[in-house]
Amino acid sequence: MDTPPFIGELAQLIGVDVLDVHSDNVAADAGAVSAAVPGLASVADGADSTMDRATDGYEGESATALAENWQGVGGGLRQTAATMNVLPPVVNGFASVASAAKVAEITQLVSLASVMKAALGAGAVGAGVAASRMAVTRAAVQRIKHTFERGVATRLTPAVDRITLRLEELGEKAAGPRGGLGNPALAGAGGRVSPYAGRLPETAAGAERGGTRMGMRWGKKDETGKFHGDLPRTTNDMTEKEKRRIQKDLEDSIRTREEEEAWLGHSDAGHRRRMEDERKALGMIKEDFNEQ
Amino acid sequence: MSSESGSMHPRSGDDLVERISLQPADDAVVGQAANDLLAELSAGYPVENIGRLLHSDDDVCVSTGTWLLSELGDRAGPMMGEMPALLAHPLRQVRFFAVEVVLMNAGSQHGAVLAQTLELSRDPEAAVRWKVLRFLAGATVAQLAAGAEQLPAGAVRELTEWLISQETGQVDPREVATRLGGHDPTTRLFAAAAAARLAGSDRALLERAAVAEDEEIRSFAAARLR
Repeated sequence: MDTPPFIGELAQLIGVDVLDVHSDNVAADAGAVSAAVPGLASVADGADSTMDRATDGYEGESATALAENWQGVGGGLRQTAATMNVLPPVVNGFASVASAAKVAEITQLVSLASVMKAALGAGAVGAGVAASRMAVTRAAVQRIKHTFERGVATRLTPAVDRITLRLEELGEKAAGPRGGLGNPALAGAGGRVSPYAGRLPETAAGAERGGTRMGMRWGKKDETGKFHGDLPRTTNDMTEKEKRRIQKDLEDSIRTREEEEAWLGHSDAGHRRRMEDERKALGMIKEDFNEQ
Repeated sequence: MSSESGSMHPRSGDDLVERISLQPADDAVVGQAANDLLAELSAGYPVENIGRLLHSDDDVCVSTGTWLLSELGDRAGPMMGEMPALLAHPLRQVRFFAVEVVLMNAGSQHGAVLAQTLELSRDPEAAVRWKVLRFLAGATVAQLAAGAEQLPAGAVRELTEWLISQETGQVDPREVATRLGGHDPTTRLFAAAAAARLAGSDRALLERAAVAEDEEIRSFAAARLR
């Protein structure tokens, strides 16, 4: 199955693997999204009942998870609707690869990604506003994190945490003067910025360069707080975004490993060597940034 | 990041297991070989072959094998059968890294192993309790529920069920705060996990945990607040 451009784009944006394909759920996904999105876009306040209808066709665990999660996120859904102008195309793309139970989570991720991109476009003020909105979204994401079984959730939520943390850091440096929802660049009618506008050619070029990326070339930090998987040995062919992501992952990982070492009072030889290798990889990336 | 381990040709996974088994006292050899083996595992070397290290009489081999499993993230599933022995191992670093393997690989069918992990919340070693706290904060509700089902009636089971209720029921932040300041260290540990799980909507609880009397809780909370 081809990976829709939106998928690779969003996955790259948040620094995760492309979602797993669950071919059995493709038809159900498409049905859920087409039922849910129009209702959400036009009537945010009636979103709960819209989701009820959207889940009518499901049975079993995934339906329960989706329905429960949707109830749990509550206001998060309405908040998501503020960025709904970018949701339909993205969700339609996701629908071809994501399972039904994950639609709610993806919606949140799209919202986060949208806020993040819009904030970058809006400069420091936008970052402050985005950070305020993140406080709302964090609660929803936190609940999602513990609602779904392992799989996509475990791969995506660490990335969401990173995005949220970064936005909070930005927010601390530049508090928004108008509060959370007042920024027209993020939520105002007619003034919203689609984070995906104009980005498809870049995505297509990326796809040509690297082909369909069903997996990352390098490892990443997972929910253990450590970088697991192959360490980069070169920054060649690494995008700026990837470099920043790997740098942050490695910094976090080394910090976690140092904590572990402190608790155990020592490190086994393998762990020590791994820490050395991660420090080298981090140094390489930092050096690369310095040379630019 | 595979290397050539000092030879002209990369070593196979079997060679690397052999090398660690034969020279466990040589840190330079083990450090290099373990990381080369990790690369081999990432490239498809069967994780089951680590069993030779886990079943060794040598502590370094067992410890290195467990560490390797923890470095595999969610790809150590085939070795879940080894977890009961590793979680009960006398070496604390083995229990320490085994907890992480459980976090990343246990499903609802691994209730007994999850229960054993939850019991380690009362491990005599603070390092292990610190790792278990990270487990409690990161485990899915399904993992916690599967573990709780297998726990005998008692404090750990009650605390696990309480932690689950923080996800599925009405949350009372005051109760979490009260438990953080309670007399029982295991209760405080679970309360700290609840604080971490609720941090998305209420960081005040985590801030309170950061001044708890237990070093493992303070350290954990401070790191989460960074």
